[in-house]
Amino acid sequence: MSKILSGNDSGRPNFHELTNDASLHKQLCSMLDRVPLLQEFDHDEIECLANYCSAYKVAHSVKIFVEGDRSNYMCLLIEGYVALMKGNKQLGTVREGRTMGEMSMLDGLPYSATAISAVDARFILITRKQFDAIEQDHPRIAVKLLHAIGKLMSIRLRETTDLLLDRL
Amino acid sequence: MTDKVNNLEQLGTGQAFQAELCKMLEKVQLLQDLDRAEIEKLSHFCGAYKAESGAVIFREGEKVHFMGLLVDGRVKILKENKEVAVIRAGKSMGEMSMMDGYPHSATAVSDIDSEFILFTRMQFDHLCEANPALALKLCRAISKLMSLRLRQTTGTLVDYL
Repeated sequence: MSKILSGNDSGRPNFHELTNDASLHKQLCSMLDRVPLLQEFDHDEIECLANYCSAYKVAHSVKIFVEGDRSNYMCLLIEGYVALMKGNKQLGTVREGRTMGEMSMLDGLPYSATAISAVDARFILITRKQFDAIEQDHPRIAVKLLHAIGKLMSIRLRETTDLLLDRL
Repeated sequence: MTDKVNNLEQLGTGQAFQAELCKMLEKVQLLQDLDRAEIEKLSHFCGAYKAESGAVIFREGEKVHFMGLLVDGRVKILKENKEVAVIRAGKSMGEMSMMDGYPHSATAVSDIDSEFILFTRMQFDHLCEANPALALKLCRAISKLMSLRLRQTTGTLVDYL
């Protein structure tokens, strides 16, 4: 079930917010629970985090964010897969449980690539405002989240550096 | 008591050295958004070391989790004996290993006599416990640094695709 919200958090009309009723919180928790990024989070921390994010679904071929756009959110892909494009080149594919848009969220620069859903996809979205609110309200959880994202980026940095060194 | 990390000599410890340590921390770019009070708090969770020219600070593949903030001197980063980068005063090294807990991806050798601050992973964990707000600020700064570097490597890599 989904409904179109005219004024959803993402500001993107082709994002359909998942059921916006009392069961949403529970749904969010069970989605967050499955994200490898958050595997170190206990039940209470997941419950808390769920208060600061929202879930959406998109049809295939929807741009989730666009290279060069000012960034306002990062996403955790729950279902489906998403192509990352830089110009007309495909940089990679985001798979279930992975994040996208986190770099912009951290360094404040525009998105470095465009994310396009390759199939119907569902994802959790955390806006910069929501992230700031977590920092404000729950610094301990925020630092845990940031550390998890940092770990992921670090691993990606190792990979890209190795690829680059192979070519030098 | 001096704490030896990889046979590096600690510059000083205790209350007497605190002011000097703060001064060193203030020179680090990564920490430029921290105010004086935060620098003072942070100084209780790190140590200052020196390395003579040619000394290895950390070795590729080594599983010792710390990051270094170079205050004075110059450090070469080597990967399989090939020089891949030079770290200058004010810059950081080893932050990836500190963040992801994997072995250091390169070797850091001091190119001239150098002074630097070390944060071990354990100190970072203690900081998270004791002062999450400050840990958050540090973590944000490190993440930002890595994010910018990831943009550079990906940007260069995409030219090869």
